[in-house]
Amino acid sequence: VRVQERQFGYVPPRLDHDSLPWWEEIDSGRFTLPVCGSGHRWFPPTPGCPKCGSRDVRLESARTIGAVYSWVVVNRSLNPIFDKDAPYLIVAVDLADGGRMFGRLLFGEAKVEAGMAVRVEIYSVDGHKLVGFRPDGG
Amino acid sequence: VGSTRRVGAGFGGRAAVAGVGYTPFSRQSGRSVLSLATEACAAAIADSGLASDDIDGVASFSLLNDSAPSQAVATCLGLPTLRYSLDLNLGGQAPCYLVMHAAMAIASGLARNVLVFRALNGRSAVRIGSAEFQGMGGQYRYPIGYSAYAQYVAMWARRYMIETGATSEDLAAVVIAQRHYAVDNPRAITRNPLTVSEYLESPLVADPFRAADCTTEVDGACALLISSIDQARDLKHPPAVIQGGAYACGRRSGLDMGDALLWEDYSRNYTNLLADDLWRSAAMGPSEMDFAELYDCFSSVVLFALEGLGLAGRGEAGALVRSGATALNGRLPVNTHGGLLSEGYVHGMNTVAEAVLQIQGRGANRQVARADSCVVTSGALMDGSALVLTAA
Repeated sequence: VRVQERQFGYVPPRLDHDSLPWWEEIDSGRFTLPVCGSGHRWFPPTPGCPKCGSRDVRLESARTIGAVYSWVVVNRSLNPIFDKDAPYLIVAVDLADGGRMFGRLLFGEAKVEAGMAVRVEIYSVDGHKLVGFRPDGG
Repeated sequence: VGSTRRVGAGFGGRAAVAGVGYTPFSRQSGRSVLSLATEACAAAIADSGLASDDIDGVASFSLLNDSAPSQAVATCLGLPTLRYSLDLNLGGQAPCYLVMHAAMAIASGLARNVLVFRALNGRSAVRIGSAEFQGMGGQYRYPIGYSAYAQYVAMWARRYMIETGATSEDLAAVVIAQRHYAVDNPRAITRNPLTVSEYLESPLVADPFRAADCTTEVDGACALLISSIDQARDLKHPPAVIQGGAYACGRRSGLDMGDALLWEDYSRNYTNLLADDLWRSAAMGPSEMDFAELYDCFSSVVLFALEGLGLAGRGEAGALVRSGATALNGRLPVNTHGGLLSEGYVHGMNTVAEAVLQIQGRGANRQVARADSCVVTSGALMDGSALVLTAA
């Protein structure tokens, strides 16, 4: 099955104080994850650690590898902004350092399976930086 | 099953659903939500045999300001002083939860007769399925086009299929079984029967979901009237006793209603978390249920609930449905109104109402043979609620 390799549509993220530093790192091309004083890593950025409640939270650079946990092929977007994108593939990826992210699978074919190794790729849509994934070594 | 039998929840067996009310479900009501809510609530009052002056509580829920406040509905109904009023900012998790709240209010003496309603122009105005939610999780979904409930639940359905080996045929079985019921439900918005091959040939919308796996958003309202068990025994219809109930919002349920980033297991939902509490509260178990009305904004959610509540073993829900066990003459009829998939998306208030009609013996052509006990669920993902309703 062919799917779109590129993203065309874009909806600006509604940032907040807790997420702004993470987005700023992405804008600078750096992939980070929040980490707490006990060493837990997770996503998305929150003011307390979801695992232990620690509020000693900072961003640390993280490895850009992970494994596909699940996915959905969007054949018909319910948002007209993404009409040109369909069909596209959204993957849920378990990051090697901890945490799960959603992102586009930036690959022209819907060849995906659970556990597939992927690599984080920061890409741009009309100058806006987003995080997606590409098959590792693909 | 005795109405006095109660262990656990303090409201168990002490309140009952005494009446139900509906407006027609349509794609364009051409009316205000307040008008729909008022009609459904008035119908529920009349259905119970009570008078407006007997009502002293109103409770409802809404999302994205898509409904009318309880006080507005009370005003339009000409109700006397309310002793209990509640407006929750929730979606499909809420109907069973609200019925529990009404039962608690009645059991504790706060109120005597409580209306619970959901009203919305869900098709012609705010369409929840593709709406942007308040909260902080949306910034990690909307920019990439991961922006609709069908897509979120499809992500869970895919993981469930990976872990259990469930197939599209299992999803098809849910849809087809419920369509079969809908043929006999004049209120249902989708009533044409469907075959497996028709299902499999229809296009994928959010793989693994096809359009038939998704509820139909509608305009409409549905209301329930909750009374004390003693009051309910004297009313027009036999009471549907609120035997027990439970709510669960799982650990790390995220930043908003659609945010599952921190939820570890997409193959299990809130039903796994509340099952023990639910059965304990009702002092009953899954094998004692005559039928089930399970929230189904999407087909896979029925499979999750069957397994989460212990009505089917892990990975066995699809086989249960394919065996015909959930059909009218089966061992455990499920979603006898055709579910939200067929009847329409009134966010599961109509799921509770169908359970009540069946227990009261008012299921018409779709009446199940044994309708003394039923489990009802509300919700699809990280949080939700459930009830056990029984005959008196």
